[in-house]
This record gives sequence, C-alpha cells and structure tokens, in this order.
Amino acid sequence: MNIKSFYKHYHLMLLPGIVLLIIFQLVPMFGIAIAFQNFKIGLGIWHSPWVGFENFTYMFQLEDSKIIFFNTVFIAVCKIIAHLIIPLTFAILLNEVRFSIFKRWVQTVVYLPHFISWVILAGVVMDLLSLDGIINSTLKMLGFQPIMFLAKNSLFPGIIVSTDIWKEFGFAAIIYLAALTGINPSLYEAAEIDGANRLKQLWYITLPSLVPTVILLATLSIGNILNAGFDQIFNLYNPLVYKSGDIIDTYVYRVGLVQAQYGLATAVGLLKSIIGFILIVISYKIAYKYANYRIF
Amino acid sequence: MKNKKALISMMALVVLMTACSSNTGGTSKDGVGQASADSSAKVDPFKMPNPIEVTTFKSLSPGAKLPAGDTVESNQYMKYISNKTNINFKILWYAAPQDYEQKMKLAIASNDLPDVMLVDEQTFLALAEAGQIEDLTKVYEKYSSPLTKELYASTNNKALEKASYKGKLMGIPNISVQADAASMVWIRKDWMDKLGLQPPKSVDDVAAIAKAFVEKDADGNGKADTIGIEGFEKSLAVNGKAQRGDFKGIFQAFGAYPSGGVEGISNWIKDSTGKVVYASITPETKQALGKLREMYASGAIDKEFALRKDPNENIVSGKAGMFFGPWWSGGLAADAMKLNPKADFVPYLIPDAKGSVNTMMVPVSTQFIVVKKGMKNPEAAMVYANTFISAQRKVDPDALNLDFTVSAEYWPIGNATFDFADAVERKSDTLHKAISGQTKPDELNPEMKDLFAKATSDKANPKADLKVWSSYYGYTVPADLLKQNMNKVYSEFTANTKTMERKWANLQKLEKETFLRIVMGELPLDSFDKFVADWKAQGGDEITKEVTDELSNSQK
Repeated sequence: MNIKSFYKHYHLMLLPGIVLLIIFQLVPMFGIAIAFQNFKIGLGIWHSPWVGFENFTYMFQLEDSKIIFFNTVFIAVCKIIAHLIIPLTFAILLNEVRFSIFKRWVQTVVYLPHFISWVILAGVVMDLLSLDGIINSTLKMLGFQPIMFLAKNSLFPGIIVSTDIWKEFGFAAIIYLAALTGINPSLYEAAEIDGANRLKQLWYITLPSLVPTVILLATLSIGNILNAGFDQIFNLYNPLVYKSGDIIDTYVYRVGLVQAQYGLATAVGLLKSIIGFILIVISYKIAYKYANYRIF
Repeated sequence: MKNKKALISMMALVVLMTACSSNTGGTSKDGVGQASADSSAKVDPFKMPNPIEVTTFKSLSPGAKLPAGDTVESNQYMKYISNKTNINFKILWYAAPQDYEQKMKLAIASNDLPDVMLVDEQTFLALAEAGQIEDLTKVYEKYSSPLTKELYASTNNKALEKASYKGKLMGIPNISVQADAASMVWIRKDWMDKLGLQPPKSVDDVAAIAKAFVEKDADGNGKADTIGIEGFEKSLAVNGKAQRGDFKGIFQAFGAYPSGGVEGISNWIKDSTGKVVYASITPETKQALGKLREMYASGAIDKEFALRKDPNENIVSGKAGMFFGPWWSGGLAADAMKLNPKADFVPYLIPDAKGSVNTMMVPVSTQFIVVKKGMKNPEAAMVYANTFISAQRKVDPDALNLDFTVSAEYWPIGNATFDFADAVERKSDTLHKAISGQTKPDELNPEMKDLFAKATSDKANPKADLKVWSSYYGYTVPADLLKQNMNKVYSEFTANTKTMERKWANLQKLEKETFLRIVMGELPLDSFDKFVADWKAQGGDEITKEVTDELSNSQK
C-alpha cells in the first residue's frame, strides 16, 4: 500500500514532462510525411501530392550532397576527437595545480564562453580573424602576408573545430575534474610509498581510473556524428567556403526555409535523424558492454 | 452635393497634375485615355448607384493596432468606403499574413473565392490561367477615374500589361514607386576635395577614386586601413530595389543585370535578338565581372566584402569612402556624419560607355485586385480602387479627416501601394517649387508641408538636426539625379516555374560561388564560360524554355 501511493506521486510529477514530450516531440513527427510529398504550403500535409521516395532520389542525385555529407562527418569527427583529448589534458594539468584559488579562477574563466551564444562569439571570431584583426596584425608585424582566414577552404574546417573547442573545452573539463576527485587518494599514497614519481602516478593511476569516463563520453558522442554545429557554422560561413563548410543543417536551412523546398529539406533531415538514431543505439550497446553504462 | 464638389475639385487637381507631369510615353497601346472622357459623365467612378454587399477576405498583421472601439469590420476606413462608394464590404475571414497565404490558397484550390480580393503575382497568374476571375477590360475602360489612369500612365502602361492575361485585363494592378531602383554611388566629397579628385563620370573614374582613397590614406589616420568601395556578401546581385552596399551601379554601367545567386532575385531580360534570357549568363555580365575582378585586385573594393553580412559598419565608422545605394541612403550618410561631422557623402549616377544610365526597375506591380468570375457587379472593384487611390493620394478632401497612422491594412481588402511610379520625383519638384517661392506653403498637402518645414528649418541651421536633414535630403540632390533620362530595363519574368522549384537552389549556389570566386581572383575570368555551360546543363535550359513558354502564353 505504502509503496504504491509513494510511486503515484512520482508518476504525477512525471506527467507534465510526458505531456510536453508528446506535444513537442511526438506530435511533430507526423511532419515526417512531408519527406514523401511534393509539399505545398497552401495544400497542407493532408492535400499535398504523394511522391514516394522522389525527394530521396533527388537528394542523392544532387552534386552537392556528397560534399555536404563529407563536410558534416569530417567536421563532426574532428570535433569529437578534439573534445575528448583537449578537455582531458586540460583537466589533468589543472588537477596538478596546488594553488586552489588560481585553480578555481582558471576553471571559471575557461568555461565562461560556454554560456555565450554563437551569434555573439561569431562576431568576436570574425573580428579576430579579419584582415586588420589581431591575428593578421601579428602576422604583418612578423613580415608575413595577411590571410583571409574565413574565405579559405583549406583553413575553414580547422577554424570551426578550434573555435568550438575554445568555447566548450572548459565546460567539458568539469566532467573529468569530477572523475579525478573521485579517485581514491589512498591509491596515490600507496604509490608514493612504493616510490612512484608524479609521471608514473599519472600513467598507472590517473589515466586508468579515467578510462571508463573516456569510453563513456566517446561512445555517447558517436550519436552526434552528423551534428557538426548549425549555429556556429551558420554564423561563420559565407558562399566562398560552401565547399568546405556547408553541412547538412545549413543546407537544409537554405533549401528548406529560404528556397521553400520543404519536401526535400525534410527528406534530408529525416535521413540525418535515422542515421543518428542507429548510431545512438550502437553507441549505447558499446557503452553498456565496455563502460557498464545503462539507462534501462 | 458634397460628393460632387469633391469630384470637381479632384478633377481640377488632376488637370493640374497632368499639366505638371511630362510625357506619359507615346507608346500607350489602348486609346483608353480619350475614350473615357465622355463616358465618365454617365457613370460615377466613385459611387455605386445602389448600396451593394461585396465579400472579401484579407491578411492582417497581428501587430496592426486599431483605435479603441474600432473593429476589423467597422473602422474609419470601412466607413469611409461604404459612405463614399455605397459598397459594403463583408469580410468573410482574416488571418495573419502566413496563415492567410495558406487559407487563401486552400480557398482557391476549392474554388471558394470571395467577390473581390488582393493577390500576389503568382496567385494572379494561376487564377487567370484557371479562369477563376473576371475579365475587367471593359470595367476599366468605363469606370477608371482620371487620377487612376494618370497613375497607370506614369508607369508607361507597364502595370496594366502586367495585369493582362492573353490580352485581357484580369486584375487591377498596384503601382510601386520606381525611384528605389536607381543605384547611386555615394562618395565622400570631403575626401575627394582633400585629394583633389573630380566627381566620377564612368566606372573607371569610380575605380580610380576608390583606389586613391585607399592608397593616399584619405581618412588621414596614418594607417593603411582605408576602404574604397564597401560591399557585402550580396553585392554581386542586381536587385530591382537597389540595396545599400550592392554593386548594381557597376553592373548596370555594363548593361549587366545578374542575380548573383542571391535568394529571391531572378532577372530575365531580352537579348539583342529579342529572346528572353537569364541575365546572369550574358556576355555583359562577364564583362562587368571582369571589371569588378580588376577593381578588387587593385584594392578599390573592400577585400573582405564577401565576408560581411551588412555593409553599414565601415561606412558609418568612416573607414569606407564609397558605397552604392538608393536615393534614400541619406540616413546612412547621417549616421556617418554623427560620428564625424566632416563626413559628406554625395550621390552620383554612373552612366555606361555610351553615356546613358541603365537601371533595372522595380517590378511595377506586385499585387492585383481580382474579381471572382461571375460576380454581378465587377465594376465595384474599380470603384473601390478609384476611391482608395484618391484617398491614399489625399486628393479627396474628406480623406484628410482620416487618421493615416492607423495601419492601411484595415482598408477593406488590405493594403497595397498605389502611387505615381515617379512619386519621388514629383515630390521633389513640389519641394523645389515651394522653396523657390513658386508655390505657397498653404497650397501644399500635409505630407509636403511637413517636408517643406523640415527643409526650411534645416536651411536656417544646416545639419543641426541630422534626423531633420536626412528626412528631406533625399528629395533634393538624389531625387534630382533621378530626373535625368534613364534607360529603364524591366525583368520580363518575375514569377516561378515548375523546374525552378526543384533546381533553382542549386543553380543559385553555383552562380553565387562562381561569381564571388571570379571577382576575388580565385578563378580565372574565363571560368565564367564554364559556369554558363554548367548552368544550362543543370536545368537552366529547361527553365529558360518554361519561362519563354509562359511569357508567350500570357501575351497571346
């Protein structure tokens, strides 16, 4: 009896969340139908003519689709790798700092950009990289030719990845810092007694203790392999770097919203979601097996 | 009695206006002008003989406010129309613009039309093709008021041509103000004086001045950071309405009107053989791109123009000495002046090699009043249009009692611009006459009175209040430039075709990338030829054929 009424409260508390989920996540899914239609706004979902897989065939025929797909995966993979390595390194280094006020200060400063939107940060980045921005001024002072960073296809993906890291690594490091504090201090004490120096401690204690966290984060991020970051790229790119910077999301935006080809845009988006879904299932399986991570 | 008086005074005004305005283009196809002089004696173009009810639906922005007590169905505009014309509009439904689109198209699809409504060009063509709307040719001949005719004459009858389908007038077209089309180059006069430069007479002059600004440190801050011509990512497009920061003025000096792959622009012009072609693939466009490429390489154009989302920042901050913009760019000049009182932007029009100024015009009409097929009193639409026009142009004295700060969307069938195609030039003339004392200030209409007051107060204390200055300045020097003879080019086709829906996005991307790369020196100029071939192969030829077919359909 007692237990039952106890659960009832919990279920009631869950209700608003479930309702929101149904309204904003489940109901809009019927819009997927648009991907199989020659959608006309005036006719709506109920009256637009059905075209089967025509939107998908057309998508694969598009010359651009290969480039866009490649760009998306390339940028996303670079971001995933960088997001694993850099915050980890940073967290380990910061953990070694003994002066705790300095440590806190660095931690705070470094994760501040996480809270600023890309609309603003893009302005900052553009200013830094402009022809008379700070980077080009330095280059000029050293006697190099100034470079138009944001107009170069060879540099654009690099800029996207590095600015994204700059924005997010402080925040990502928090997880590692938390994992670091979770390591049993007696392990270090024992190692010290055995004569291990700091490097050896890092190698034999810190890193192995972090492995489950790393695997967990790595596998979970596989689901993001098609998310290369719409708001960042949308605010930073321009027609000159479409070749290296146009990703699925920006393409869907331009084709779907600006050019009003709703059917095609929905088809592209749907394909993205399906691949993303499959990858998330796989990564969950991997995480379950190797990092003992489970949701259900 | 009162109505008759209004009519007479309006006639007098119209006669006056005809006297002032110059030629109305000798090419007017229909002899409507003379024929209706006697017929208007029989019919009243402003009033139906008996009260009638007319149904409509309309779009209404959520933000449009009404005075307390008024409703969409009963407000000053609705009452004005029903008093003046005997037409009682019954609004079946209204909706916010986007929802309106959908609901209206649904209504069209199920042929559930109201008696009268206002539609855009694409809908208009679809309705005309489907035979869902009434032929208004006779109604126009019989019922259009002299002022209405005068307005259409100011477009050289382009507006009526647009509203014709297979030789019949199927709708009453609106008229947009054409002044927005001209692209002037606004140059820092103070910098030109400082460097001893002459005003430009050609594109080469513009390039030379821009180069001098950059190389001779025109802003005098000792740093090599001066920009010649400022642009932005959409600079390589010729839009009907000139944009601040575009290169329309340069393209036009070569007789080129490319769309630059910018969303929403597609220009179709007649080539030398009279065939309709896509303006971005002409040899003139290649020539213009070549010149721009040369100017970019020489540093005359901002190196980073393609990365800028808007051109204003460097103009206002005083870094850039030159930009292309429409006649109303004085506001931007005023912003620059606010920071640096010496900044003095002066506009010029740049002619082509033969000395004539080419201008790709704004589509004369974008909205059409249409009447449902089989409606009993199709003349009601014309009577409404006549009355709406005379109220909007404030020639009906009773209209002066209306509060025009109330959104014009509350007019029975919604808002559309019906103005003289050359409204800016006309206002400029009136202003000049008032300043020189030829007309007394009391004779001006309220709008002109306000402009005149601003001009006089600025004269007493030049540029003391930049808001006052910028609000009348457009009607002086820039508007005077508009009065010279221009070679007016119209886009022959402004709607969409079936293949365009599918392939246009890709073609535009191709064009945008290629053009920017050519100008910025990443691709050789001759890659333009490859672009033309690719464009044709990837759907351009197909689309051109559709456009040609559709044009010949609507004309014959």
